[in-house]
Amino acid sequence: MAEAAPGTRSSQSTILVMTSLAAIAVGLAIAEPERSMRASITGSLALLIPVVLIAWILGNRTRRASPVRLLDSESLPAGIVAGLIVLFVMSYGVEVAREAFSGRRVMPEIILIAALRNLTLGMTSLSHRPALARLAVLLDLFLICISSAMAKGQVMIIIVALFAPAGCLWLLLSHRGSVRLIGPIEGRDHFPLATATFLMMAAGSVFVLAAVGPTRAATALIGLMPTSGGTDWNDPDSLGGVNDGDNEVSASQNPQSVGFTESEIYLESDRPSLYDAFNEQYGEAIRPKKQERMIALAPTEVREQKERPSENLQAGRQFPMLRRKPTREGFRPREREAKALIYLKGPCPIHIPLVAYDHFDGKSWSEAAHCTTRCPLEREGKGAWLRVGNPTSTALQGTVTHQVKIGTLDSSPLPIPAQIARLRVGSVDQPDFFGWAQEGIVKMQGRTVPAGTLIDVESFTVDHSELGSVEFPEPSSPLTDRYLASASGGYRIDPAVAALVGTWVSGRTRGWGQVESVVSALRGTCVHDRTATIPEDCPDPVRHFLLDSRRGADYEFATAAAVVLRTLGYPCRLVSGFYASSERYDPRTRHTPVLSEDAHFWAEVRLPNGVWIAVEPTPGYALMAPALSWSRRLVGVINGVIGWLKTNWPGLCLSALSLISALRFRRELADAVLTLGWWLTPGRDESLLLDRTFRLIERRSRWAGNPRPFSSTPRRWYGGLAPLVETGRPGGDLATVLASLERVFYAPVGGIRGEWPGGGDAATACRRVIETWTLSRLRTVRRGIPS
Amino acid sequence: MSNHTVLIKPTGTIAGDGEAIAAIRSSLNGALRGKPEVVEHVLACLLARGHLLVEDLPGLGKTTLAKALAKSIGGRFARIQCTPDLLPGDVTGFRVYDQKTREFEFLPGPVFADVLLADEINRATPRAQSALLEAMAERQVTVDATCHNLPETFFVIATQNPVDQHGTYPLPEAQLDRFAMKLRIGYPGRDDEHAMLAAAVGPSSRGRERDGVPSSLDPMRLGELQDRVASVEVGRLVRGYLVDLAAATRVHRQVTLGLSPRGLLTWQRLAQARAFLLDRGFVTPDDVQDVARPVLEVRLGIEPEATTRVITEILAAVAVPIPNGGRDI
Repeated sequence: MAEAAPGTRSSQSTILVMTSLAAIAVGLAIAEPERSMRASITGSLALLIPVVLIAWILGNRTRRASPVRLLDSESLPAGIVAGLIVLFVMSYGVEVAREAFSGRRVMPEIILIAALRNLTLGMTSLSHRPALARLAVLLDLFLICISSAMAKGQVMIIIVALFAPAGCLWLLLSHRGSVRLIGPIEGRDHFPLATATFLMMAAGSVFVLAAVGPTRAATALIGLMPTSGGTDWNDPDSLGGVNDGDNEVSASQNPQSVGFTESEIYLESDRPSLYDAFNEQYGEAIRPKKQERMIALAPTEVREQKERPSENLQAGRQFPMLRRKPTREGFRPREREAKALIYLKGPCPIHIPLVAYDHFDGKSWSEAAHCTTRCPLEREGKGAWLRVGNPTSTALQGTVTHQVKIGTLDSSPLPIPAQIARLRVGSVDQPDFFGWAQEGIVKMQGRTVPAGTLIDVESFTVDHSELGSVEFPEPSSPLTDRYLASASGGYRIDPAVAALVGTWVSGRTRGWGQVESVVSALRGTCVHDRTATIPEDCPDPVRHFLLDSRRGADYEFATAAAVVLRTLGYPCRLVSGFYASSERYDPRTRHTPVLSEDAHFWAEVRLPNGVWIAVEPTPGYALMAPALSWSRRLVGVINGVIGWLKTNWPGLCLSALSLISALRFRRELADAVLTLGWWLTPGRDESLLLDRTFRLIERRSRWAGNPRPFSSTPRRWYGGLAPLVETGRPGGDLATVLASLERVFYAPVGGIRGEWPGGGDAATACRRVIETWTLSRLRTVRRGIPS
Repeated sequence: MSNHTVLIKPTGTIAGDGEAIAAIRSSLNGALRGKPEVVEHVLACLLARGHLLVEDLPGLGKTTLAKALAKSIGGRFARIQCTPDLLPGDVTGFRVYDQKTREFEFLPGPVFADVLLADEINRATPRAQSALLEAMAERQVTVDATCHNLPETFFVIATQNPVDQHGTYPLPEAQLDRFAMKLRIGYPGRDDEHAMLAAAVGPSSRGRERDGVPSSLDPMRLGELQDRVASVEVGRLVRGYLVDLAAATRVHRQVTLGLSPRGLLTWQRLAQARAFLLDRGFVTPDDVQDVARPVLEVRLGIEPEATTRVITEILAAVAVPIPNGGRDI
């Protein structure tokens, strides 16, 4: 009699209040940023109206129909379960439809929370059922916790402050429900109003004290809340900041807490550039020894220079492939204070191009000249968004959004993904600030991007399956000539390498297929090894890599790919930058930090319409998957599933069949196992034998859908069934077994051993009972009994 | 559990008891046709040393039952027809002045009998009703500061009429709690009425009624049986079940007066009697449930029309104890 029956009107009302608060909180937490708070709350309240109506009608009807709710053992009808499942799944369907309609994607956790909210609303509307009521309260609590963590603001504090007393009230009421177990509900519950009010007021006064009390007390109480810390300490899981805690948190509440958000710090510093990262990553370049020559100058040209000679840091930089072995400093355990070069928020992996090289002399790549064409950035609307008039291509499918924050990187090109559709750099809203560094790579004109700058960028993803239809004309355009083998100065590819390449692309017609076969050949035949270096005296690094070592760093892969593709007549360039790997994703800060180890080289192929498409020849690195529309993804998934089914159908059919039969006959199986167990281990003595027999019959009865009610005695229940079960069979065994079982169960310890009534022995009687009271017979009997 | 052996053959009664009980049973069944369950309850009440309240419409056999019972026990039978002018002295007896001996002499009232039938008890005034209180509870009567003991087998059957409440004094709760159970007899079935009519035809019916029921017990023997009932065993689980049930009566919303500890004791004793009647040496939850209705009906302050429902709810709310697996057995 410990089961509660919290179906009273007051407890149901409390659950309604709690669910309303939870629904409003969830509405605020998952609302789109541009949606107003009033609209969110109104939307949530609109959802609640049907819930309240259904709960009121069903609750009243149940209380009228059966005023007494004693047992909590009733099972849920299948319709209710199905309805709740539909409610849960519905929000997924709605999101899919919304994405198809508006193209906007929502994070999966948001959908999950919405689904849970719907489920809770459904359960609340059925809260006249005690089990669902309790589950609804549990989900309410979860939703309040999760939404208060997601959303902030005064309203959320008020909601939590209201939810807490409502929860206490529900606990009180459900406890009362469990104490006052039996009997109809008549009139109003006599509730200890005075006590409850006192408790609530005591709890409320603590909050009031914390909010408006003396400074000292309020500060002390705030110390209990998770923040970035007070003086000299910090909390890694903080939500807001006070005092001088050094954690990186949003400065939305307190200007003293400065963190990983948009800020306007424009300070010059000795931050590392991309080339510093290269030196750290790939070792320093081997430069020819300085040869000093004396040149006589005319006296007129001799002038004493007093100021420091100016340095040219701007252009003409090179990337020599012959480098010293990199020092292992990059692989030292990093200090905690280490900062990333940039921080990235958005889908990974992604390639971030910074520098493109177009000229290769056999040993070194030279940076391409700065692009002279105007960068086609246009201001979009009123905000700071700038749109790029990208050349259209069918291969550019869907967009992804990234947010980049500049860390310690010192770079003029923006560290953003390629194929940008539009971007926003802090609050800079003038297109003149930007230009092409090289074709497809945006740079900031005349200066480096300041640390702390926040760049939002939307870029197209590349659907490689569309590239198969692109036609590459024979090279003729002067625009692309410098990206072809003819532009490689004196470098000509080695004939042995050319022969090898010939085997790679043999049988393939000109087109993207050839590019892919080159890339896959490189990925398949060569090993990525960052420590491998090319001997200093190597005349042809490409040949050395492809034919001799077959092992090298990513720049060797990328160089080989670029050189080979150029030889095959595809306009191609080497690109360096960063590779943001999804393995670096930090779930706590929800960012992917990009460190100097992430410096990376790859190649890009120029399509005839001017779009540069990245190819990744280095094993272990991946290109970003295209963000396809849901219909295309669906088709892809269906095709995949069909293919998988085609290959595995015999095994699948067999397992499906066995699974279905196991599910269908699970009770029979379980019964068979238990019966076998009964036969194998009948028990040490008669009492144990009787007990085991009884329990087996109880289980069978339950599986037959006709369990003994807990308030019914075995004799009454099974005695009532006996005439139906034992028809056409020698009966009476059960009565004998039950009579002896009663003694085992209820007689005080220490009986007298006597003869088994009616001849035979206990084992025989039990065996006959087990044989007579089978699951199937009990099922038949159940069908015969009117409910 | 290893030190426990199973008693296969139930040995609730010893030889001879069975015949005596069977004789009373058959004589009562003969007097009250078609009501074997009522007869079982009456027998249980008698063996549990409790008093019986029979409430039903006139002419359903209340008095017949009481008289048949008194006769079959073989003890002295007395009857009080309760009316508003009934005085306590009419029940307990009184002292009269004896002219010859010049002393006050105690004239025992009808209460000094083995079986007392208090007919229409709710027509007596509370004063007269309360005169029965001491007799029923303590089996003694105090008249003029002198205590007079009643026989050990003293057994009260009171009847009352549920209709025609005009001019009646409903029994107070304290008085009701003295009764072990309240029974309703109800109309007999069609076949039983047939047989009853057939048996009533004939000139000898009057004589047969007068001395038809043979006495099968004497008060001494009844006392022995009652002692044996009191020693029927009640296991720990069944005791727990009784306590749970009592607790359930106290939390039911429609029950104004939960089961008293005295009521709980009575319930256990009646369950023992029920087990004894079924020839079993220990009490099972079935016995407890069997006697639940008459026991609870007399002492829970329930509206008469809700009685059945409330008692069913109470029984349905408490789980029948089943030991948890082999170790508990």
